[in-house]
Amino acid sequence: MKIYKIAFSLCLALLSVFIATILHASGEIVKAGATAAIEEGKQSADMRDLLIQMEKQSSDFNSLKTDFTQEKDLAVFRNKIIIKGRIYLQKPRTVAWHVDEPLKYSVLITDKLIRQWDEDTNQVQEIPLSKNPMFRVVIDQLTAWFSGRYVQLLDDYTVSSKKTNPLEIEFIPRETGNMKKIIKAITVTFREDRKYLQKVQFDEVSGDSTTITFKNTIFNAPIDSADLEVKGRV
Amino acid sequence: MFDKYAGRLYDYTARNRRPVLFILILLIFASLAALYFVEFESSMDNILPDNEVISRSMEFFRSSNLAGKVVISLELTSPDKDIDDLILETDMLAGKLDKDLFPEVTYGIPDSAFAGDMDAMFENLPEMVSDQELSLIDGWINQEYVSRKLSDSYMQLLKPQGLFLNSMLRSDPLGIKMLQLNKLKALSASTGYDVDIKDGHFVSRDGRHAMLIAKSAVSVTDSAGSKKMLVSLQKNIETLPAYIRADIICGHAHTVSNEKLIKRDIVFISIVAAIAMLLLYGFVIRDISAVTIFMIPVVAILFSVDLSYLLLGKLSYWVIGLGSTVAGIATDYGTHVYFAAQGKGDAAPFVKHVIKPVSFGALTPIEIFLAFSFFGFKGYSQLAVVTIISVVLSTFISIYILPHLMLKPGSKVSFADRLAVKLEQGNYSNGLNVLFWLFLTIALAYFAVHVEFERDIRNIDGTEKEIINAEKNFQEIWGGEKTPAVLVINAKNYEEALEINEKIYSDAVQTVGAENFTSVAPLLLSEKTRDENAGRWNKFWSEEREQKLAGLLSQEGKKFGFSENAFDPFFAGLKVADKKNPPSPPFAKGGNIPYARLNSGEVSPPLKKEDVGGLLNNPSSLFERFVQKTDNGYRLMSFFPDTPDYVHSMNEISAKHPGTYLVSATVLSDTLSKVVSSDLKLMTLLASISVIVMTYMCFLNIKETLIALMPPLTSIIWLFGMMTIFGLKINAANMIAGVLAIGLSSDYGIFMTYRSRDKINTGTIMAIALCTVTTLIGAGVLVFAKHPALSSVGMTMVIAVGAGFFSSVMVVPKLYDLTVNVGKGKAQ
Repeated sequence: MKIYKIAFSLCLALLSVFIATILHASGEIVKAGATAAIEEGKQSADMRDLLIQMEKQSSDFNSLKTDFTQEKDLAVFRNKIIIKGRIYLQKPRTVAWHVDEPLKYSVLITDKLIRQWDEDTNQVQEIPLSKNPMFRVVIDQLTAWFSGRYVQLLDDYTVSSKKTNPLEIEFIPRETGNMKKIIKAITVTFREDRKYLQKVQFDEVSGDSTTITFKNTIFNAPIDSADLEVKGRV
Repeated sequence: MFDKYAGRLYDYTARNRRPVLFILILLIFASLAALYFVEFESSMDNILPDNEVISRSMEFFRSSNLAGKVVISLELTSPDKDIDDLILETDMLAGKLDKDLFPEVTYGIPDSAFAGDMDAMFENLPEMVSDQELSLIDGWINQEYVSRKLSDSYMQLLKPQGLFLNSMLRSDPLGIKMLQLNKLKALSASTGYDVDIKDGHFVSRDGRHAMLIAKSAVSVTDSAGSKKMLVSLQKNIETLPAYIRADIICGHAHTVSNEKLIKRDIVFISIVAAIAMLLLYGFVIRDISAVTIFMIPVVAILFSVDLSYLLLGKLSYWVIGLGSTVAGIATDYGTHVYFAAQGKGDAAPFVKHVIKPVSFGALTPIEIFLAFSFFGFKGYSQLAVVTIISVVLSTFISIYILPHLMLKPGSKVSFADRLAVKLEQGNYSNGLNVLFWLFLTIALAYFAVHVEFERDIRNIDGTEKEIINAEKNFQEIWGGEKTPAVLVINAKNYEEALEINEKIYSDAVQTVGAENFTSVAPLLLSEKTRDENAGRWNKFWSEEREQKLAGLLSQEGKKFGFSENAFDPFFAGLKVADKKNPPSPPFAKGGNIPYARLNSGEVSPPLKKEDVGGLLNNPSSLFERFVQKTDNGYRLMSFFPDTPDYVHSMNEISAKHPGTYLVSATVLSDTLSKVVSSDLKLMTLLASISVIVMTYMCFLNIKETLIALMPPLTSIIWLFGMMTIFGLKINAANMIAGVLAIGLSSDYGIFMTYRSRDKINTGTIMAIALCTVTTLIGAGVLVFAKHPALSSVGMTMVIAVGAGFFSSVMVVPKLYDLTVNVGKGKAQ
């Protein structure tokens, strides 16, 4: 009888230890998960704060003009392509992109349309964005980058800081987003004064990459109406 | 014989006054208790003709998600704020809406929706490309086109947008995907509104407005629900910042507004009419027992509702409303009996004398409402039953019970008696009046033939100005003032629906042009077509054609610096199809399943909310407009301009495909007008014949019958003539009022002809005058009602009853003298 009692007590004790261990372990898992989530949330909150700060810093202008050099390393081309030109930006949503090399062309992007001209055809083409959903997706992304509307990109990208001096932020498309199929990562490097971009690098899923470097950036520079025209500007 | 048995019945009720009254009171209480169990319904269907076009149009509006939507237009009122602020507030408002009242809220088409659609289309390109498109592609495989296309691609890659187009250009150097993309663009541009899409939101072209579309759980005909829904919505709108103004556009607002206006009108009318009646009866009759005259129709309608429910089942609210109004004419029968009995020591002979005209007078509306049974409107048959029962009971109570309830006359002759005698002795009917009547009737007959039916129901809509203004404002900003016609395909099987849709689209493109026919057919292809397309694609991309294109791309690509392997992704895609793999089930690759291929024995694809859109992972309002899951299967809709030419062309196409039909406001309006017009003609014919026969039965004399028919005839001619002159049209509301008024005129004709024949003082003129005055008070006040339907009812009643009174009192006696009495005189 005593033996049974002892065995029973031992079983109970073992069971309690087992339950306690399980509870402790699961508690730890829960805690660890919660800590990770808190960390992630904290991190994303920190990144949001940082982006808000960058957006504020880079929004301290109404107009901007800058020279740029775009380097395209694409498998579709035999060699790297170097494009040089100027960008004119008039807030809230007008971007003019004038290219001088390797051939002359201009693109004007507003929130309603794209107007473009090139010296090859010497014709102005107008594309209303309302009827071109695909273009609209692309243009919305581009104007967000150039105009410094970084916070809105948080919906489509996970953001992390890679370097602080100069500030380098990496945007990785979210799994659910459409960009995931094309873009692997976008790395943005800010100027020392963090007022505008110094470099943007687009790494594609295919292994192709494009880098745009900005130089001679002038804020609130007077922009002629001709700068926001496409034909005859270049 | 009639007089004999009617007289005996009167004597019997006089002898058994107490038991008869006891039974009546018992029945009243029983009916009141039974009323608790009567079921009512508020469906609009009952007031619509039983016609296939109308029924299916109404069914379509009821079951499609096009009806019952609530659109909120949000406007920026401050110049300091921009569209981003508005979009933010639109999102917040969408989140606040009560999910029980608004289960689905759309504020735009997310860009991701397009991307999802594009992915699905591109991944299944071989199945999407049609025979004609393959011929087009064949024409592209030449040096000139390839060179131009590569030049374009090169330019695209250099431009800013090229950042995201690289992989697409590699996988599609010829631009085949653009063929599909154009179809999607055409569909996205056909939202039915003039909208831009910004950050996935509907915004106006001027960038100062945003639109929110909410699917309401409340039926448009449910006035209590509509009120609750609008209050909830208004509360949410009040939380918007001051710089945003909101307009609500929905059918529910019309329902609530109409009800509000009608209630307001009825309160006003009731007060004015009650005061006028009190004054009239207080000063003229001065007898408290006269109140029973007004109680007769109330008791009759109470019995009638219970009996009608036993016979017909659920009753329409509007039928009860109209039936009660019609039953109100029974006060006229009570009034005639009252004045026949009033002031008489022995009322029996006088009451017995009016039994015949009152009974035959009551038969007139009964006949007319019997004719209503032949009308194609379900509700009118209900109305006929309710009305006939209530009129029969009212007449019975008026003749056989009312006289026994009257207080015994005092020794002093009452004011009413003196007035009645004076009126009876007056000579109102003379040659001049007859000439005036004849002249006016001939003149108005000219206009009467031009009376028109109301085709646009909005003209009798009593919606308040604020709502109408909000709608005008909305149309100015968002367009959509002209609702397109819809071609509807109903099929049990989804595949079947798609196949019919394809055939109709093909016919429609040839007949009305693709630009005038918005259909989902080019994007949602049937399994059969997809298989055929895939087979053709495989055959098209022969080794020879593939090599030719590869050579051209390599040769021309060199000029622009393209690498040798630049377009490998394109050829890799072709090879998948070349391997004779079964063509990938359309959109059946993992996450991109818009609808699954049918399993064996399955009659319809498991179309869920997610795949109603056809191509999307997420529900897209883009496709919801075109594809719906119904209780019986699937419904596909295509849209085209609602003009007679297009409707005619599409009707011919629809006729070739069973299970398809058109829903068009123009067709619906025309059909309603035609059906109502033809039914009204039939009803008028039936009613006329029966009234003539009944009037003849009353007099058994052709001349007297013709004279007795003059008042109703005058009412019809004067009514239609003056309606034409005043620009009024016949509508569902005033048509009933007109019939009622003509029925009253017929009664007046019978009473006055009877009076002219026997020359017995039963207070006929007093009774008719009092009846006319009471009707004119009620109807006259209605003329000033704000609701156009009520106002038109008032005008109709005033004209027709006025004409009936004039012709019966001023014309009938003289006509009687000129024809019957002169004839009698000659005979003597």
